[in-house]
Amino acid sequence: MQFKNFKFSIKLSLLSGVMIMFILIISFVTINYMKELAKLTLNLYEHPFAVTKAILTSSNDLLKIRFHINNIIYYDEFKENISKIKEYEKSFNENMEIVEEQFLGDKKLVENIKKNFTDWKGIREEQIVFIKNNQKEKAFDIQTKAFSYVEKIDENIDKIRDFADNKAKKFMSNASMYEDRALFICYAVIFIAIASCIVIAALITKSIVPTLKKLCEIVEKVSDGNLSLDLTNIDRSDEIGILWISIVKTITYLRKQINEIKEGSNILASSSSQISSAVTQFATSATESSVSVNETMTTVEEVKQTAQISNQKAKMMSETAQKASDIAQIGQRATNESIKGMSQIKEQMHFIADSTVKLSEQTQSIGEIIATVNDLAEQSNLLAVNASIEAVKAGEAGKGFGVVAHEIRRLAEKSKQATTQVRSILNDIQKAVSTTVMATEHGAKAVSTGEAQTCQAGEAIENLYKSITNATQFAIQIAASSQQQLVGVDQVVSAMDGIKQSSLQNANGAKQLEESATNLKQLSKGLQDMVSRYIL
Amino acid sequence: MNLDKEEILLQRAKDLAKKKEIIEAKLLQLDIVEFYLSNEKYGIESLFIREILPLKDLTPLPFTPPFLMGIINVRGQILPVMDLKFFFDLPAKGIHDFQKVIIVSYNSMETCIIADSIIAAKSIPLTSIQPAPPTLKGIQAEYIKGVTKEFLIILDIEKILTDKKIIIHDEVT
Repeated sequence: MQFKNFKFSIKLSLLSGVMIMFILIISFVTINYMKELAKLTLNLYEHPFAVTKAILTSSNDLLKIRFHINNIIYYDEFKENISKIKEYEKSFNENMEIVEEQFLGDKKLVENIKKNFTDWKGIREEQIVFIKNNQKEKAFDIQTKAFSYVEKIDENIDKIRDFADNKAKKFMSNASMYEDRALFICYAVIFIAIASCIVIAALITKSIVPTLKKLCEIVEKVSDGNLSLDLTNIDRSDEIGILWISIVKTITYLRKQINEIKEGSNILASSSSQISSAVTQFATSATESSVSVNETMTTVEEVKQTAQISNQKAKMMSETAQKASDIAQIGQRATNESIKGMSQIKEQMHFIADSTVKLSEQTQSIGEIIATVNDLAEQSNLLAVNASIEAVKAGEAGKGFGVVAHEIRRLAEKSKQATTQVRSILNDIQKAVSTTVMATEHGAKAVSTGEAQTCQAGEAIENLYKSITNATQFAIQIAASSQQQLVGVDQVVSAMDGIKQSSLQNANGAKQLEESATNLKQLSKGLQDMVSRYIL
Repeated sequence: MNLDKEEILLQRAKDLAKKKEIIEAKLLQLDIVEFYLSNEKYGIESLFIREILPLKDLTPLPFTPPFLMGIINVRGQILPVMDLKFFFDLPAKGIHDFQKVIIVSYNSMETCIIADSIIAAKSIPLTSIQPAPPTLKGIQAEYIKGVTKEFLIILDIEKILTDKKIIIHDEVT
């Protein structure tokens, strides 16, 4: 990961981070030294100054006490001075306490002062007692002793003050040393910060500027219309790299688009010329259509005339259909009557069939009778044969009987023949009857089929009647619709007028279209010119 | 017309000629009963015939030879019924209502013979009877007395009734 590949935000944040770091260092150092200084100052205040002040105050107190003592001694003014002395004593003691507390030097000095002070206090009280007893001489005698204590106190006080002064001087020199050091560190840090900032800024500038210059050149060329640039992708992932890539993309896209626009303008040019030719054709065809509309109008006139004729015909047709329906009604009645007649014939045929069946039954019974007669003949024949046998057995005497038997046999034979004849006749009759039965059955069938056919004919005539009625209605409808047709044809004539007008408008519109096609052509030319500016 | 007359005259001449023959034949005549057996004419002498009856109530007998059709009851008398067709190889027509039964007797033997139909009882001259043709053998030759010109076969009842073949003596085991 190279530095130039860092994003600008990262770079800038790096720079600001460095700055903040330095500022932090400076502020830390400064604050530290400031604290030290403050501490020193406080020490200065607390120790040398406080001690000096307290010492000064206490010396002042001493002076006051002396003054008041002198007042007492020399002018015998007790009241006020004693209280004042006490007051100043208290103040002196307080100051001494402060000194003792704060003094950094030898504490013996303070103790000496205190001791001397307490000693002097005893002398003072003695003086005061002497004064009260009017022994002024004694009081004056002690005065020198008292002065010696005071001098000692002053001495010690001076010593303490000198020490405090020295201490203060020492503190001051320390403070100035700290100040110098702090200043030095601050200057050094500031210098380092400025140097590092310059370095980082230079780096950032170096990483940005050349590429940006290149980009500027490219964009300038593009703005002049030169798109034929050999652009290689850059190996950078920061904003500059993204900008580069996107500009390259934009140029490629622009190139493509301009190519497309070029093609489109070419197409537009060709199609505009086609449109203009088509519009010319349209104009001619509009003229043609107006001509054909005129022709159509004459045709519609003819149609109108034929519609009138067809209307008349339809009226005639409806009248004819009315007549046909009357005739169909008559036909229906006739078929109904014929159906009735057919049913009567059917009944008669049934009667005939019944009669023939009865007849055949009777012939059957006749046959039975004949069979009986035949049987009788057979038996008599047999009897005759037996009789003749008996006659033979009787010999000569039975010959006459034999002749009789023979005759009987012949009779029997004849009767048999007769029965045969009757049977044959009966057979003929039976055949005839059966054929009659068959014929009547056929007849019945034929009659029923005839009935059915008449029914069908009736239905057909009825259907015919219905369809004729329908036809009549249709004919009436046709007449009405032909009337409507006539009206419609009139409307068509008016509509054709409208069409004529609109075809005229069409012709005008075609002219306008021609103009706009020319405009389009110009536009396409302009587009082509515009595109040709670009170098691809 | 001439032709018809000639035919009539010819017929008359023939008839006249026949009558003479009959008169001659009357001297030796045989009374027979003529009947049909499967469209063939057969004859039996009237002397052997007891009577002729229509075939009724025939009771077939089991375990008997095929020529014995069965037995009938003739006025209380039980008689066997024979069918001669089996002897003469004639096609059997089966029993029908119009068949007749001829009761024949010789000595004390009485039996019935089935006839398909009875033609007539008549007498024929003996001269017209010729012996049976030599082509017939066995039973057929034995039972036949003779044949007339009209192909009438005259049966010999005596031989038939005395023949031991028709006596049935079988025991059913």
